[in-house]
Amino acid sequence: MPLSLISARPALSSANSFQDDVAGSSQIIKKVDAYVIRVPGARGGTIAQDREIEMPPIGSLRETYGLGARLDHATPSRFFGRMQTILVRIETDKGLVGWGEGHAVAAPTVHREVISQLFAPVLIGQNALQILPLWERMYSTQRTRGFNSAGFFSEALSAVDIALWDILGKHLNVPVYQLLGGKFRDRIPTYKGVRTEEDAKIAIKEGFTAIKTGFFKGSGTSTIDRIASLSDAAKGKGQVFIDALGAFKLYEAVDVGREFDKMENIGWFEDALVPEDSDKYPILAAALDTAICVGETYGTRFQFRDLISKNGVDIVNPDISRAGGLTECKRIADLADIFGVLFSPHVSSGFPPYVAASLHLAVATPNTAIMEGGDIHSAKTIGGSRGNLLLKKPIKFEPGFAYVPEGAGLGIDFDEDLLRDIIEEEGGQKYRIKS
Amino acid sequence: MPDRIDLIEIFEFRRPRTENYLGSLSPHDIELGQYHLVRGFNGTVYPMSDRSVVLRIVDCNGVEGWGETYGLVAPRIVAELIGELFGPLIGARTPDHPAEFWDSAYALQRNRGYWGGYLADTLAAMDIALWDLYARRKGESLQSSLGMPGSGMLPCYISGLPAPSTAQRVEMAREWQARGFNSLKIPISDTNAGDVPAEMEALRAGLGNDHRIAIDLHWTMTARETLDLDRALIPYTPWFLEAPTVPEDIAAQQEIASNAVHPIALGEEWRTQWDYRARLDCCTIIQPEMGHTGITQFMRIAALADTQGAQIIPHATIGLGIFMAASLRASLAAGASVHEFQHTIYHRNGVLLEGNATCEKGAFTIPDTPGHGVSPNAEAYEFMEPIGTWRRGK
Repeated sequence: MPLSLISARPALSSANSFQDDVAGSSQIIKKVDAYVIRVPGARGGTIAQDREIEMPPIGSLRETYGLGARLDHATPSRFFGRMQTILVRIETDKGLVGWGEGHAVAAPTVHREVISQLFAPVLIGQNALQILPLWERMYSTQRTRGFNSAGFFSEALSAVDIALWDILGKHLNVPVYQLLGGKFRDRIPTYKGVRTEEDAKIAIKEGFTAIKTGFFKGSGTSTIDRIASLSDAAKGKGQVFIDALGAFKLYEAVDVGREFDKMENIGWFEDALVPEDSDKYPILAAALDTAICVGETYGTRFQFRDLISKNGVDIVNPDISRAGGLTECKRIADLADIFGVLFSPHVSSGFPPYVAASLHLAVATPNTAIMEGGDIHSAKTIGGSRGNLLLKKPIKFEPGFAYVPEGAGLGIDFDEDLLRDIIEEEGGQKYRIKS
Repeated sequence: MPDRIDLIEIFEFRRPRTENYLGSLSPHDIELGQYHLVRGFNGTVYPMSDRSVVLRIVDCNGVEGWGETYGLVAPRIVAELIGELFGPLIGARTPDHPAEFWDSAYALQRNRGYWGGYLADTLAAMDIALWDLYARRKGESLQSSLGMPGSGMLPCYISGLPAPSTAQRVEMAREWQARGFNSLKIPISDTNAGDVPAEMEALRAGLGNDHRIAIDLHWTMTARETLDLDRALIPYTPWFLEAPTVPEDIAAQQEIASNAVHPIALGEEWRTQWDYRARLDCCTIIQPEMGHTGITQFMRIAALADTQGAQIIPHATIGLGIFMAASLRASLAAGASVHEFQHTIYHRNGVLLEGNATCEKGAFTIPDTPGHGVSPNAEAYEFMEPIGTWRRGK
């Protein structure tokens, strides 16, 4: 009976160093920096507006906060006027620099602490090319303490992972998609978020073949009639995706989903259920004709396993900068493919490492469906362009499509002078933007 | 209107240890920077010092509440979260009840998948402090606020035998037995290269048939290895097997619980009732950790255990001991059967607290003093570095 402690989980053993050369070469990690970024978001947003947005009026709190929120979950996620994110920059002994990013919608200073206090000591002195062993080593530091799902930890881990892939690509002088096995296509279809029928018509006219809209409780505009009007506006030209932001209990989701079933062009019903209630997705998927999309809320392959293998989802949309980086999302995309599930990387507010990593995985995955694109193609601000304007050569977006960046690694090259100007100093709430 | 909260102070508690938690370094362990080491057998990071985060919440009448959570890695995270999210939330609306605060604060990021990790840990510290404040305002004990008034006794088990050889470990266990402690748990690291049956055989021989001896497997085994071990331990009648396999693998946990002869214990890494709900049939003993759950979720998890007929044997982690005090009182109210006793930590850091419960002859004696009953004394401040403050704006 083999009961040796060390043989039990060799991947977790921390005795071995990862400095061994790979094919006669290595990139030893010398420096790990994490940068907090806060810039006005896609819809503008000053610090003053940010404060206003931070808190709903007191009178509404009884409705959406407190016990009511638990019993009658009503999309109380906190949104910010500013776009916030965390960038990580890893430098090796041979002078290579890799960029990564974590999805840090709120409190990005927390991600900075995780990276600088926990992951940097794990990484410094190690061979950056040993991506999977380093991923396991970082993950195992806290997995047994319940850090095995989405959260600050997984988002920080994602940021480091993406930077390591960037380094590997630059080291071998090939794009990341090449490292993942090559690309199935050069561009990925994108959809745009809309609110009104008018928005929908504009998007379709611009060239989008898919639009997305929110539908959840507590919103005066969230009537089935509004969805029907969007559906009509796109009929024959495109699909409408519905995002419920985790608002419904199973019976409610079935009720509204049956309304969507009656419409011809509802592409998917996203985040229909209260997020922790994921074991009910197979029931919902069986009850509805409309395709079920879910995934941005979850982290690590372990949270996706049952969802995918028990037929709870038709299109899975993990977030590369939340679920565990390229390493983990490649595993999730492959798992989805095994079960005939489509893959759609969740790309929400963020910067180029996040967007580029999503594109590299999307083009290298046979089961990719579509991803979010929005107005990036025409944005004039740093936040609106999701940092695309900080690149020497921006990632190419056009209405309805996004193109994978060519070039070594992620294929993105920051204008570091511009970037330096918007990095938030330690302990400071200030940010500066060149006008 | 409830009394407003005006101030939240956040401290890093750090107190050097002479001996590392889980014993001295083996060749498979590595030091990680200045403060941490990684254990080779489970890849988990541990601090070299006793380390946690302590909170003080003060209301407009000067009544204070104390909380504590994990801070063994990057403790400033708690200060950042309170500064950016939870302080402003308290500022926007004074909660009537601690549970109301927990629910509204959890809702801020639940749709982004933040069901645990640092966010829940920070909430745990806030929740403990708010319950302490809530009970102190009423002048009653925490257990009274939770529906179980009065003082009480709670049996405990000795956790860990940090000594280099089996003979010395048996000797240490016998010393505790002589002092009236009849229950014990060893981590898998307190064996000779993972030989659990041999260690159990020696302990059983040294302690007799009535002593309760549990084994913490520290997530090191597969389901199959656990079941093999479970069978191999039959002659030595172990009390329970804890944390046998990787924490994410619910299917493996289920397989173990369905097929094992001995009780399976899980739960120290859980934050909320959702973690337990997914594992109702994965264990018959639950081990909630107050530093992760806070009082609100500790009680909800315990209520769920009650409906399952599962035993509650709470976990005790490393820190100053405020969360431990809260755990003892919540355990009384929740009907816990036994509580973990970290004999290398509890009294050592307990001298830094006013009002700490005694632990003698195999049981904690828990008084009926207001709140969770403890607060740092003057000496404690030598080990508490202020790392953040939130103040109500005008």
